[in-house]
Amino acid sequence: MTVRRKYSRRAITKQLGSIAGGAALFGPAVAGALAKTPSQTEGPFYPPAPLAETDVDLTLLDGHTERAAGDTILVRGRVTDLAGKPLANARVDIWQANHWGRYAHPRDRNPAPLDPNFQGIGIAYTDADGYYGFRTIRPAPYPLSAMGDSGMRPRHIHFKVAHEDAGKVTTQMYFEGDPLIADDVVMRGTPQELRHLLITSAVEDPETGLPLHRFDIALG
Amino acid sequence: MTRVFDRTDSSVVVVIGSGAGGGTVANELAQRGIDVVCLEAGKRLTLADVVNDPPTMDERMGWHDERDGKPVWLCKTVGGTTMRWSGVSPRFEKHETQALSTYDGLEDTSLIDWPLRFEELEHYYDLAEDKMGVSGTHGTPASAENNNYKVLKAGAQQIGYSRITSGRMSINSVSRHGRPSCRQIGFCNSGCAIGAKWSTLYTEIPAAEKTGHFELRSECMVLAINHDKAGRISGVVYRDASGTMHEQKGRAVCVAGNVVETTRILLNSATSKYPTGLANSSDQVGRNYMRHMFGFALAIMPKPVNFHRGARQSGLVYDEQDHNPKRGFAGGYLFETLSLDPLNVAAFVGGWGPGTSQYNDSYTHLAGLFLVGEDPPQADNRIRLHPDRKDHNGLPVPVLDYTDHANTTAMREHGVTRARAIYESLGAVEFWGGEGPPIGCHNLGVARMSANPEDGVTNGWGQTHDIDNLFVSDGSVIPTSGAANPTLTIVALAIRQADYIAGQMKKRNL
Repeated sequence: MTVRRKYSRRAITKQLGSIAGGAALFGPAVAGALAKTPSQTEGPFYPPAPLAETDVDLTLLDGHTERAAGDTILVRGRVTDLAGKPLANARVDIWQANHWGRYAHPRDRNPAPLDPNFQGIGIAYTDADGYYGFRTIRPAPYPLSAMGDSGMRPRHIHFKVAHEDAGKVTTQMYFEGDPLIADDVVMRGTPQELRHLLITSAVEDPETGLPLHRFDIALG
Repeated sequence: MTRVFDRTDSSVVVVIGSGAGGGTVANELAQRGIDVVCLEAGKRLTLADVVNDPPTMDERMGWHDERDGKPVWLCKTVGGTTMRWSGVSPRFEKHETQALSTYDGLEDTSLIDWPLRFEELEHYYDLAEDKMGVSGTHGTPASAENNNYKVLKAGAQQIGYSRITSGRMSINSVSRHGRPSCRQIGFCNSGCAIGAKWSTLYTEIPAAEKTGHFELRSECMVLAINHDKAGRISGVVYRDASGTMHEQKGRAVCVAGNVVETTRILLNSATSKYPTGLANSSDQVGRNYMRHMFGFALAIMPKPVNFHRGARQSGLVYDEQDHNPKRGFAGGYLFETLSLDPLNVAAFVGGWGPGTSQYNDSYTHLAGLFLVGEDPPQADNRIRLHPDRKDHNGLPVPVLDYTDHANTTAMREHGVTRARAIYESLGAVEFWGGEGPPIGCHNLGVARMSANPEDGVTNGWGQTHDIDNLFVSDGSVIPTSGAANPTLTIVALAIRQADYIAGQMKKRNL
């Protein structure tokens, strides 16, 4: 693992949460009736308390000089109600496997390495326009055999989103083009016509050149 | 010509392991036009990586993952144990494949007869011997007679043995199939630096690659095998050199990880549908683990032998292979020449003191042999997974339970006595004979072929009784050990299995 340039934490947070960036890239949020974001299982790997660090940059831990292994990505989106109205101050939790497909969780018995430089979880609160943003790495697929089941989970990031008035959803975000999605045991539980709402594609973020995945959430 | 297959391509056959069983079945399938992805945990060495230094080569190609129990002399390298083996290639005798019928009444054993016709196996022995260049077959001369062999032969004749040969070695006695003949370098167990000894690394693997139907993925450690809802095998989960886990889809899977890994993979693939592991409804996976009766003999001869010069093993005596209960045990054994390096001489003779130093002071005068014989299967000689302990890979540690059967002990005593007679007939000054340090390199059983699904794991073609597209393709399928070093039989069975799989695919049964 190579030592990478350390970024300013504040700059990243600001950039990830940037309203202008989101609007410029994706255009304004469409007002009107939206499909509710489908829920999926929370799974067994939400990190156990106490959580050491939960900021929006999962690739860098306090006091570390090395970043998390893997391909860095940005995940950004807007939390709205079903009418498309932005929801401010919604809590967005994400957690995920590392570059080798391993969760930092005692119940994950997969024989893949832990990454001492990967935060594994991040918590954000949406800004006044409903935007949240994280810097993380693209997680690897992993086999279910260690959990006593067969098959592979596709790459995914777990989401738990809650807003005081609009309610909450627990779900998972996927990566377009992943061949494992079609057979996925979790995705099979989501109606075919709603699956696209959970699959994201990447555009290049003009500020950083990193792949940027847009994942909007509609609560209701 | 090397193909690269997509991991989602479910039309391929996935072969786990690239040694005698896996390398052979993979090449034989590719030769029949069937697409194969071969997953191998070890690195792909070249002949330039082979040096004549056992500790260095053990570091480069040995399998060092944690075990609980007796040591097992395995390899994690492309070619598997065909890189390390000595090349001794005798056939099983017919009565050894009918062990239950022949040795009926041997207590505390789980003997069965092999579920195949010996005459059919003989046909595949012919093919295997041709492929491997076994000396003294297919018009090739016997191997060169080194001094250690000449001593064994003379002594054996002195005490009345007559079935003695310097042949049946998978080391070219003449250059053949693009590989040179043996130069009598020695150090055969470090890998053969000139490629005269048969190894899948430079025979089966490149031959398969030439077909355009084969992809080798080295440094890919298999973790588990997946199945679909109906219970048929759908793919194989492995971890690549970077540590990332993947699944290779496939229409069928051949497991050839050598007995310890084959057991671990099958048991570690337990799911809610197969709670005791794959192909294990009979509770036979991991059981009936056999290692052969091993015995060793060293003698200080009156004149120099220099047994380190030349192929490490180069000849055998068959006279005690027959089943002759009058000797006080069932089944038989072989005498095979064997040279040891000074370190191993000390390890075998044992301890400090005058005995050990006398043997190494007399190193130039040493002659030696290896006894290998029938090891009856016992259900409690088994490989299982440790309930808690995980190795550095995060995989459950294999536990090896193995104790000698009384038949094995009696056979070893007989063999050591006869070995003493061989060397003393030529005036040996000193003789040491015994079990030696445990070396588990003839690993057999654990997923044996059986006519009755309750007695074993696979049918006569290595196809598991429980799952029709799951095969076992290594020494794990061998139901009883016989006296013969197993590699030739593993290769013969792998060729036969490839014929069967190709036939089943043609009939659209697979």
